[in-house]
Amino acid sequence: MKVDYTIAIAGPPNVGKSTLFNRLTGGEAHVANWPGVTLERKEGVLRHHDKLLKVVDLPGTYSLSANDLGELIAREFLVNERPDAVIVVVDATSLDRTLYLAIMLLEMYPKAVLALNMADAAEKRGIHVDLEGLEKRLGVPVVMISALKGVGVGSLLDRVLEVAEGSVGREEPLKVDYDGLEPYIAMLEDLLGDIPEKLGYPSRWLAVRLLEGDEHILDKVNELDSSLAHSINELIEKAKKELNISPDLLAIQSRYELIDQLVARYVTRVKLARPSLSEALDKALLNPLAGPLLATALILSTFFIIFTLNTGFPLNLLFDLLGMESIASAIEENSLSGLLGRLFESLSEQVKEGLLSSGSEEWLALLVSDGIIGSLGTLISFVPLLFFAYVIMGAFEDSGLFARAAVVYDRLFRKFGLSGRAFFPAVLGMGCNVASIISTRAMDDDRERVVTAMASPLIPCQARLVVLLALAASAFEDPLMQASLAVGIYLLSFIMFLIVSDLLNRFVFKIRIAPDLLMELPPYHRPSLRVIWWYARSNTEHFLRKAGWIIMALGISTWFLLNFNFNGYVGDNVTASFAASLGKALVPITSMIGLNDWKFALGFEVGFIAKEGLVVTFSNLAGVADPVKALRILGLTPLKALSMALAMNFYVPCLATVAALITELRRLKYVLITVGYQMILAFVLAAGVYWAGVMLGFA
Amino acid sequence: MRIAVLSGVPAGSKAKVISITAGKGKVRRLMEMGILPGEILEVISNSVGPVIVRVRGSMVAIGRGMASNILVEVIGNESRLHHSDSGTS
Repeated sequence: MKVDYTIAIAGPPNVGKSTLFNRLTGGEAHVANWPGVTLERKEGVLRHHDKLLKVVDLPGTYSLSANDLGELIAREFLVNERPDAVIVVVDATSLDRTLYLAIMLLEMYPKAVLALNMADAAEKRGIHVDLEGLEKRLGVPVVMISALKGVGVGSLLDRVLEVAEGSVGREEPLKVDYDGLEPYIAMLEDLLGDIPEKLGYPSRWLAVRLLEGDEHILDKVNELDSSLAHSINELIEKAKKELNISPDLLAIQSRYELIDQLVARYVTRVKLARPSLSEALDKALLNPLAGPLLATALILSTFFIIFTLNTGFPLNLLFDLLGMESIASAIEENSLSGLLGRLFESLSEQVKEGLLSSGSEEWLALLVSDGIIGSLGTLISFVPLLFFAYVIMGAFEDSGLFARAAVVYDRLFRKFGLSGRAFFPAVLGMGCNVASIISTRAMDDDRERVVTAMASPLIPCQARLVVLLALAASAFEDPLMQASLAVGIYLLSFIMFLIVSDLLNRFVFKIRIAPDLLMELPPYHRPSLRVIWWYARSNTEHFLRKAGWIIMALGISTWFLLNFNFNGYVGDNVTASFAASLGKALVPITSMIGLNDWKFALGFEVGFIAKEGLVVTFSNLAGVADPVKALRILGLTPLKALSMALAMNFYVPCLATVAALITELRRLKYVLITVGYQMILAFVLAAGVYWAGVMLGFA
Repeated sequence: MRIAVLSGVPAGSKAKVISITAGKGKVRRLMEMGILPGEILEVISNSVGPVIVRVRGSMVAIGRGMASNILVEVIGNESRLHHSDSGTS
């Protein structure tokens, strides 16, 4: 398959850039990271009029100044890979701000098509754009589209092809009138000679960037010809002195002046209608008191629905409380994790029987049925948990609620050295820690990102919820007590998240000041199911491809530990296995938190694969399917159950989370610190509660 | 006419940016989001957390620390201002 043209999509955040990308590629994207960084690079292909187009989604950025990694990547992509056409997406309802990136891009790269997105919203608000006029003035095709509804996408692609083929569009980059800067730009261009050409940048653009103090560009020029450094600096200083205003301010002002002229000339507003619902919502959600409560209530209620779908909780407890046990257990059995669990159990059983009856050796049959299919089951049972966590994330992000939550939680989080941006990953952790770690990518402060990723495994994910519920049910008959235990652990986890973030800031990074919050609050809109589906699917797939093999490999290794010792296969006698020996070796430690049985220690080992493995192990060891009964058979008193709940909740994050930490943080040190502090925290909390309980006579 | 820092401007007022004092990268980011000297901001919300302003038709949340580095000239809602500035400035 030969690609005819490479097309890039650029645009500032919140203009529907990803929606357009997904619309063009049908959601079929190849996701990778940009070289050397954990910033996603999405690529897809599409066919238009018999031409095969490769589409690359550039990072969403406000400018191309190399203020951050995203801006640098977008800019270097244009210079190095020279796409045949760039689609610059802007928001038709807020041209006076979103055109900024478009102007910057046109100054640097002429082969572009301007896509004014959200055509429907613009029409509703009475915004009319003179497309022909704008097109003539800018010299590149201008198309009105609605990426969400698919309107105008065909003609957008027609224009893209025209630009790629070279039949329309600009030859030279756009010239912005920089007013007082112009003489210095001319002098710099003279001075630079053929350097811009050698570096692949337009000469005028390079001169402007240097005047604006772009260090990345200065370095590049110096690398090529260091003899110029002195005269360049002299010229910049001269400009600063003579202009009496900083050149970068003047440059930015000039661009906005051009934008104001364009908007005044080519945009007409028939009526001025502001969405009043949005204002009313903001009054409530941004209120310092009601806002956090509302955001929390909204997020919790969404999680309750997701939890119920995945595990049955908390709806099952509600029915239990009302005395309708049969409905409660029906909800539990028909939850996704219940259904998937049974599916893989029966699949594994059938494969085992089939293999055994065809004369295969017992260990081999078990390796396939339990080791391989069992691990696959772990991996697959992970999918709904992760998928729905991403559904929540997609919905909150798409609706504009996420940005508001970040704002209202900023004040609380600052006390712990984080900004409100950390709120979202923390909450997402209730769905799945892997999703929360990956979501820290959106944070632009590096230290905050690492700290949030390191602390977020403290938040109980859905797998831990399953174990927590079994422990609560085995410890208490009263559903109200069970619910209190579960809620208590959740509260404690969020408090720990904040405290640990603070400690990491102080002692690992030695910075206590929270990064400043600066974020756009996009207008509210009803989340689009299509956008959420694209989002959740591509992220889940991405994770499976990336961490799937690690989970399979470690799952199978654990199977070996559980079924083998130095003499080979141990058969039914799990007590003789490596794992049991390891468990026995760990008993002195687990005894200190009241769990003086190697079976519990073994449970913790298996729980590393996936935390729900704890209850599965206990069921196997006790020989009963119901984990609650199993825990009682193993002699778990309420106090011990509490100790175990704490230890289980906080100890080493699961395999998938560790895998995510490794791939996202890329520093072994941070991964080790995370695993280490979690082990210590789990031990201290569990031991403290256990011995306090013993002394108070609860043993 | 009154000069104030953005974090001291009550909600409902309009303010014209005079200057921004902060690290180079931060100033640049603010300016590229449209918050630059000469621009008029409409303060939407300002109580305890980040200050929320409308600039060029979009809502932007600016952390309090950063907002206290933005010098503005208050140009709207004079009556309300007199009440609140006796306490703050």
